[in-house]
Amino acid sequence: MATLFSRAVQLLSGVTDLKPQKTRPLRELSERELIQLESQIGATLFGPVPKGHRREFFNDDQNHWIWHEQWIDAQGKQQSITTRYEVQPRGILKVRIGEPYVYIEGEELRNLNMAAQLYYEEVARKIYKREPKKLR
Amino acid sequence: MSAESSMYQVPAEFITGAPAPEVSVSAQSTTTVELAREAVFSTIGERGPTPEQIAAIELHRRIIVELKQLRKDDFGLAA
Repeated sequence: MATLFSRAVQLLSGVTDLKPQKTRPLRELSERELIQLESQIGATLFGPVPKGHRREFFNDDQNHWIWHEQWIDAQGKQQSITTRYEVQPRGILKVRIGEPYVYIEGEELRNLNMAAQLYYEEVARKIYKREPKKLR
Repeated sequence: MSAESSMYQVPAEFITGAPAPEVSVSAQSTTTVELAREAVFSTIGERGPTPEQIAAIELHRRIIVELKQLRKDDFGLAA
């Protein structure tokens, strides 16, 4: 009977696979793909992305936060800037190619703290559907 | 983005807020970069992290541990 019912549903709906749907679709995603999803949320933490800009902000599964911003300048040339914040035993080290490395302090440190905390809360709720823990 | 989270929006300009240290990095070669790193580390090592930096390190470590756990647990999207 069940087989007959399944066959009828297949004929009516065109669905050929009546196995239970996966309840955890993200399981199919690699860690890299998960991080790409997270980055889409990370990019929204700093307000609207200007037209023509591409922004990424994510944790790379090491002790690093990556900020990448890409845009076309007035001369039509593609510009980009990537900043890596490394969580080190002595502080949060800001690494940007061509610039001095520096342990961030003050407002910049507080802003990064806020960004990281918001990132965690947003991805926990919106991607993993979990209530984030209180970390402070 | 929810109205609640936008209240705490982080200014995009914050990445430019750091004071300029004395060490500069050409980034042309790994050796140069590594030397510059060592210079930075030794400078900071003499002073040590501030209480604010220590608190930040702890916060970021906890956040990263939680993120790794979320990815590992693979809870998936709710229906």
